[in-house]
This record gives sequence, structure tokens and C-alpha cells, in this order.
Amino acid sequence: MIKGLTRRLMEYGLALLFLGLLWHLAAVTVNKPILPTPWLALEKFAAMWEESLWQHFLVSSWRVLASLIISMGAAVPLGLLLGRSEKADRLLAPLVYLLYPIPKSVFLPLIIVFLGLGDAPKIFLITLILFFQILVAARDAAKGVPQQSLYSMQSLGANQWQTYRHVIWPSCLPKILTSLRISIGTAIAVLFLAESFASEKGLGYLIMSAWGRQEPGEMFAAIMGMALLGFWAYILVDLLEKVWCRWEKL
Amino acid sequence: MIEVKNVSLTYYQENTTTQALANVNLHIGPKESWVFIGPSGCGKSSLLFLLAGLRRPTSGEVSVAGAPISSPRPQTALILQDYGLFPWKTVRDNTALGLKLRGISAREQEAIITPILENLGLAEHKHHFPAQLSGGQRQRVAVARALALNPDLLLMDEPFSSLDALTRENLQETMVDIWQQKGMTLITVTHSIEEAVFLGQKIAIFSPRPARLVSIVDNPLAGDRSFRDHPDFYRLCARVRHLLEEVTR
Repeated sequence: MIKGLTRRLMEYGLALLFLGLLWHLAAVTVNKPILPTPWLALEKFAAMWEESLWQHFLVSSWRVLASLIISMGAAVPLGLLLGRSEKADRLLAPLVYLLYPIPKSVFLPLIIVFLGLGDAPKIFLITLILFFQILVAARDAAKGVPQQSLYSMQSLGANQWQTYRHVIWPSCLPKILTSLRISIGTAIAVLFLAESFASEKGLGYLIMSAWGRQEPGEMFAAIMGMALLGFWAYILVDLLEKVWCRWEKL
Repeated sequence: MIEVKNVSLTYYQENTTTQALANVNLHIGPKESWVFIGPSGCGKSSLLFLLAGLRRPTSGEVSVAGAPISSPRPQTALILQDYGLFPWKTVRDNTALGLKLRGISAREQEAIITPILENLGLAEHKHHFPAQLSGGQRQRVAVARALALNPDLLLMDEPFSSLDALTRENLQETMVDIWQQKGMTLITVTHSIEEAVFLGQKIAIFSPRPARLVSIVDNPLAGDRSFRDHPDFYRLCARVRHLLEEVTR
């Protein structure tokens, strides 16, 4: 266990070193202030972290985490229901299909008018986007539950709720987590958009303001913060998968 | 134990209608072992699902233990070929699932399933997941789960068809032992002639779709462990094969 962990850390360290080297080469080749070397960015990152970067990091992390939790909580039950109930699906599927392809980020100005400049508009926008992605994944996964599994449950005397709890939810969980993993990329991209626009806190705000002040070192420090944010979110989903889907990795 | 009267079943799927069963009549006595055999896809599994209360006949009547059946009955257990076990539950949790659904306490669940798992040679695999077991062990878990409910009627839908020959015969012998010890009614759907002759005191032969009951072969030696080595075993297999060939022709 410890040995495996050390090896994993070594592998990540090597990958990090490799990326740093690429970045360094690119910075040296371009040779413009807008692309600083990784060492300069790292120095800035260390200096800024104590001062204010950690606050922005925390604000952005909270926005992503809250969006992930709210969108999961709303989309998973509804998706499973749509996947299993033909009636509900017939009623709501057209609505989902019409709304899903609309790029939700275009509503940002409207959302800001109604929800202001704090956490709420960011969380709302990210949740709105993730909601549809997870909904569609959960619905398709629930449709794929084999009839035999359901017969098996019925013959054991299970009611609807027990069938959802013991069969439909666990069998769809791996696919839901996969969709969550893919959604994280989207969530952070949307976070950047929402924070770069009429905002006073968050990594997105920091990137834009550093850019405006022509401080590439600060900008890259904030970009590294974004990368770190994405990284912990991935690790979180990985951990959930390890705990909830242990049976899948056998 | 079971009365099937003039039962027909037609189902509708995406604008096509399929007739699965046509006018089936059956009388199955308590503690008998029956096998339904017929060409694959003929509708014999549909009949099993009717007996399990998972489907309703389009016309006719099915009653089990004196009562017409419209939903699954607590004393009936069903074993399916695949997907019956849940890969996200351990052997212990799979076995105890039916008890848990009925609100039986964890301690009582343990008291019920421990001897069953021991008898089936699964005690040491209690905390394993199905993916960690062999095919034969997995079907044993399915058997254990069925037995945990102490059923008086056990229905099996091609339970051993994905197993290799020796594992399969081994499990057939296990089933015969259980059937004799517990004195339950056992109904097995299969397309294997040897399995039918080894397990079924009565072998019901069905025609291709829509399944019609063509004949019932009496097999008083079924359930004798040494039956497989007996010349009568082969004679009966040959007879069942001829009957099957006739209906498919």
C-alpha cells in the first residue's frame, strides 16, 4: 500500500518534471514576457499563495464543489427516473433534448442581473451545465439495466424504492462517475468564464486582472491554481469510485 | 401445487405482437421435479415467468398453492442464468438480499445464511464479490440466495447453461440433493437433454413458438445420483431427443 503510493507519487513527479521541461522550452523559444518560465511562475505562486492566492483558490474550489454536489443531487435521481419510467421519459425527454444543446453560458449576463456578483451566479451557471450532462448520462445508464436484474429483484419481493437503491443506483454509478469526471473539465472552463466577468474573487478573476495589469507571472500563478483545482476534483472523483465501485476493479 | 389452465401469452413490442404461449394446460403436484424443454426462444421461459408472477397471461389462469397468482409470491424463489447476482454486492450481501428486503434483522440474516453458505462450500468466499468467483461458485450463490427464503417452489431458468460440463453436472447433483432434503417443488427450464433427464421426474416438451405443450415424459428414476451411468438414462435421452426432433420438424 505505502509502496504503491510512493510509486504513484514518483510517477506523478516525473510527469510534472516533464511538463515543466516542455513549458521551459516553450518559454525560452517564445522569449516574450507574456510566457514566463515555470520557475518564475512557481516563485510568484509561492509568494502569492500566502498573501491572497489561497483565498481565491478556496473561493473557486467552493464554487466548483457546490456545483458538483447540487447538479449530482438534482440530475442523478431525475435521470434514473427518466431511464426507468417510460411515462416520465416521454413527458420530459423532448424538453431535455431541446435544452441540452443550448450553450448555457450565453445566459451569463441574464444570470448576473438576477443573482448579482457573488458565488450564486457562478454556482448556478456551472450547475445548469453539469445538470444536463449528468442527467443524460444517468438516464442512458438506467435504460441499460438488464431486465433480468429487475426480474430477480421483483421475485425477491422488492418494492420500487428497494429496486432503485439496490440495483439501479449501484449499476449506474460507474457511468455517472465517468460523466462527472468529464464534467469537471467543463465545470472549470465555465468557472473561468463566469469569474472573469464582473467578479471580484476567484482564480478566473485573478487571471483576468493580472492580464489587465500586464503581470504574466501572477497570471500564471493563478493558472497553476486552476490546474491544482482541476487536479483535486479529479482525485475526489477517483476516491469516490474507489469507495463506491470497488467491485468494478476486480 | 400449480395449476395452469388454458394459458396463452401474447406480448406487444414496438408495433409487433409475439405469441409466446398457446393454450398451455399443466398440473404440477407438490414436491415434484419438472423440467420444461423445447427449442431455444420457444417461450418456455415465459411460462416460468408466469409461474413466478412476473408476467400475467393474456388469457387463462395460473394458480400456485391454491391461489391465482398476479404478483411474486414470497415462498417462490427464482434462479436466472445471468444478471441474477449483483456484482456490487458481496457473496454475503447477495445471499441475504431477499431477507434484507423483507426487513429481517442482520443477526437473523446471519443465522439463516451461514449454514446455507457452508453447505454450498461458499463460507470462505463470504466477503468476495461475484467477479472473484468461478462460474460454478456464482451459480451456487444464486442457489444460496434462493434457499435463504426457504421456498416451497423453486424456479430455475437455464441455470447452468453457461457452465462447463463437469461443473454443471456437479451443480445438478447439488440441486437434486437440495430438492430431496427440502421437499420443495422444483421447475427447471433448460435446452439440455441430459439436464432434463437427470433432473426432471416429469419432462414437459414444448413446440417452437408459440410454445405448446406437446408431451409429458415420465421419468421415475430422476434424482438418483447414479442414474447418469445407467443404460436407461441414455435410452430416455434418446427418447426425449426424438420427441424434440419431431416438434421442430
